[in-house]
Order: sequence, then structure tokens, then C-alpha cells
Amino acid sequence: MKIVNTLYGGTHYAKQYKIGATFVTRGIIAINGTAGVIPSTTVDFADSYGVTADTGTYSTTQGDAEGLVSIYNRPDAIFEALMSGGAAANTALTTLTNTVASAAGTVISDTDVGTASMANGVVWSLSGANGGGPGGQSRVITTFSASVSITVTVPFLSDIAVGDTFLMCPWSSNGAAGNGTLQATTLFDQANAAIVSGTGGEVAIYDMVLDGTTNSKVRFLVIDHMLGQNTV
Amino acid sequence: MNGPIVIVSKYHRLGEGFSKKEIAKSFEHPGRRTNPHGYQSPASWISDLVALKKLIILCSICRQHFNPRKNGYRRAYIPDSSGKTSGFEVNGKCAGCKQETADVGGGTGFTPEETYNLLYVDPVQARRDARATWKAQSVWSVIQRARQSKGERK
Repeated sequence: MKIVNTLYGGTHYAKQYKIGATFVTRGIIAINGTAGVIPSTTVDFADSYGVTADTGTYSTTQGDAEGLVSIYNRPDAIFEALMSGGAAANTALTTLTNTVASAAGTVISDTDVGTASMANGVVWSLSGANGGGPGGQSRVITTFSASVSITVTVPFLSDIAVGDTFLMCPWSSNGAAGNGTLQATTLFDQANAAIVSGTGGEVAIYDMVLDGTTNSKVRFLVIDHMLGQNTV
Repeated sequence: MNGPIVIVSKYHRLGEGFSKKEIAKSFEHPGRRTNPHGYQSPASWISDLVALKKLIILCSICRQHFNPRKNGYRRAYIPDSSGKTSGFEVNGKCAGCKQETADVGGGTGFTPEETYNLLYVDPVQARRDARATWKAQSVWSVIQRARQSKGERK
């Protein structure tokens, strides 16, 4: 995960914290532990401190150096995670290739939509009349039919032809359930885009970079923060 | 003659009721040791941090003594959309003098070059991407922009 901005601007702030478990990966969310801060799980960001800037080794052996990790700990910090198409990091997003023409521009049919419901997520055009890459159109998914299709309420500008390709993710900036959760990949440094929309740890989806299968990103704020107002 | 020591719990019961902010404060690492029995020099502490490839925050005075290139480090850049800072400012406790960098002319974060792209936006790459996007525009929009800038020059 990268730190890309803050809501209110100004100087960034980082602190060194004692650790209660080993941090193997940089750029992951750190949460509160018993002996010190610990790495988050893939689905739990409660009592977060922010995102780590380095790694640290936890040791209970006398004579070893005390483990520490640096954390960017502004509660309004905006982080960016690469979208991964599975639990393992750097998995490409699944490309949907439309199999049934939709003159209304509302239905994308492909068995590859899988079984994890993306309702309240976003689908964006990768090729075809609706554009591709960062310039492609995107719509919020309103209906998910497992292994059959996804449907949007606001139609794409152009017809969806057979062979048009799309990508989808479980998040949206304004979806009912798509903007409040995020699940990390196994090493906690990327965002798993193959999960059911509305599941994972608590965040606020701030923005998305809707691009290709391996370079799309989601930006978010960690909501349950140790220095945030809801933990006073 | 000292009187008896009376311990009064901060909250209702001893050891309970600490707020999360207090817990967070208790987990803060004090940095290098500065007591007479365990003194560590700033140079030694920063060398330790470099060896472990840690983020190093230095105040405006101490950063003059740190050569990031020599140690495989570079300045951390985090965009600041408010425009209040250049994006190269990171405050915290100075690894050299242990003062809050906000009180000593502002801090700079130095991060290992080899892991820079995992955590930070590269300003040079960001500019390249923006230019590439501009070049990828349609011919029509480029003509419009050229006409517009020509009009501005007049």
C-alpha cells in the first residue's frame, strides 16, 4: 500500500512504535496488540495505527534489540492499494468478455463473473464502444447473477456488443455497501478484488484508479483509528 | 523527610480505563537511548536504522549531516493536494536530536531507495505519466489546446 495524500493536506506525520509481532512486509495496516502494534489481518483493521513504512522483527530474547516499526499515523491519511484478482498479491483481475449483446447497455454476460457477489461494486469498460483503460466508462453494479451476468441500472453510453471486455471490483465510491470495507491480500499489502462486496475490514473508499488487469488501484481511509474521534 | 507515597488510580480501578490514545502513546518507541548508562550517539543510532532499512526522520538541522545517496536512501515524497507543503515534509521525532521536527524547522523523511516504490509516489514518474496522458489525447483536443495557448500568447 502507498500513502498518497491526506484529506486535509499539510505535513505528513510518522512515529516509531514498539511491536508485538514481526512485520514482514512494508506498507501494511498496523493495529493495536497486547505487547505493541501488530500487523492487521486480511479482514480486521480495528484499532488501526496507520500504514507501516518499514519492517520490524519481534523478539522476546534478552539482549536482542527492541523491535520497532515506523507508521504513518495521520487518521486522515489516504492509502492506495493495488487491486489483486485473488488472495495472493499481484493476481491479475479477471477479464469479463461479454457473450450476449445488450442493446440497452445494462447487462454484461460471462460465466467468469464468478460466485462472489459484486453488487454495489463497479464495472468498467476495457475494450469496445464504451472505451478502454483509464478512459473507459464505469458503472455501479446493481444486480449480480452468479456465474451468469452483472447488471447496471445506469446504462453504458453505447450498446454492449459480444466480445466487449470489462473489469469489475467489489468497491465503489458511492455504492450502498461497496464503499465501507476492504479485504487485504495474504501479505496484507494489496486489496483482494475477488471478494464479496461489503465484506472485509472497515475503511472508507475514497477513490479508484480504474485501469487494466494489473494496475488498477483503490484508495481508502482507515476509519477505526486509534487517534480517530470514534476511539476517544 | 518525605511523606508516604500515595498512589491514586487515574480512573475507577487500577490498570483499567486507559483510553486508546493513552495506549497508543505507551507503545511509542523512545528512539535512541540517552541515559548515562545506555547512551547511544546519534550517528550510531542512525547507522542502526540504515542497517535495518528503516524510515529515518530528521529535522532541518540534523539532516545536513546525513548523506542519503551514500546510504542508499532518498527523500520520501507524499503529494500534498492542499499545496501547503512541497510534499517532501514528514514530521515526527528526529532520529538525531530526538526533538519534534515540527519545532525545529520541519522534518524530512528518508526511505531506502530499493523499497521506495512500495510506499511512495515517484514525482518524476507522476510527471511522465501526466505528459504521456497529454500526448495520448485526440488530435482534435490537441489542436484546441494549441489554438487556446496561441490566443493566450497574443
